Amino acid sequence: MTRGDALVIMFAALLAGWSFTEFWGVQGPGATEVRIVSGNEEFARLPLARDTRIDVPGPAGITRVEIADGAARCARSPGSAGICQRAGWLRETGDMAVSLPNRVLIEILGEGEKQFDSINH
Amino acid sequence: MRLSTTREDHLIAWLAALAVAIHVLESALPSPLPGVKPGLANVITVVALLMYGWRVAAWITVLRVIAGSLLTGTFLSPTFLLSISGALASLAVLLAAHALAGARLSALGLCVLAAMAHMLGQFLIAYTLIIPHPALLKLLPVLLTAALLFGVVTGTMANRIYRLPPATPS
Repeated sequence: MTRGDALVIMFAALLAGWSFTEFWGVQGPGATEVRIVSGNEEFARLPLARDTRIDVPGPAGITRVEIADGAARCARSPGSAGICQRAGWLRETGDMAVSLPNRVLIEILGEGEKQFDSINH
Repeated sequence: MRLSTTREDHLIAWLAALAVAIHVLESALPSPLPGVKPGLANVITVVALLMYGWRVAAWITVLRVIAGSLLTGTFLSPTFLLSISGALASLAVLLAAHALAGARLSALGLCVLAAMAHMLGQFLIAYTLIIPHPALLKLLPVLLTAALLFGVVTGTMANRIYRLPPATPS
């Protein structure tokens, strides 16, 4: 092997390695904002980058939305089934948590493709 | 009618026939992913480039793609389009690298360059013309890694063939 060969192989390995980080990496900067809709109106639109908490009033009580580490979740909601809370941390574009009794919708906005809600065969 | 042929014509015909045979045999091998192939026929191209110069190597490549596709029944199909775009990209990089680097690159380096260029050229055409969907990009890391590994394998083979003592007529 000549020094040129080693250089070529190193360069090719770097290119392959870079392609892994580029195309298989976490889709970080995709999701940027969370939109909170109460009833028929947008209640708030907050950046995911800033950790915060916000209480959203609705017909059934108060839904608490928490933003931390670039993700948002429904921390507390008056719905008895806990469906809104069970959506967990929302961090990809298109992720959603809904409280029907309180008519609150929490949705992640951003660049990139939305994932499928569900797939049936 | 008699065609007058030169020694170079005969050389190209022999080597191209060898490359076509390898190409066809290889297309019978099962592949885990579309686009992943050892590219053993490229050994012939690289050895020919080192021993006989760029004209012979270019002829072998073009003849191999066209005759190979006629034999496997993919002539002018999307497979052929991918094959020829990869082959031309790899040939261009191969000739440029050999002209620029000369003896500083052995068959190993040349084969790795050719394999990477082949993969990138054919991926570019696949992505722009055939399946322009971002999901295709997820395949690229696997394809590039396979190209690197197979480039090293074919390069090692080409190096060994190139260093064999010339056959003496018996």
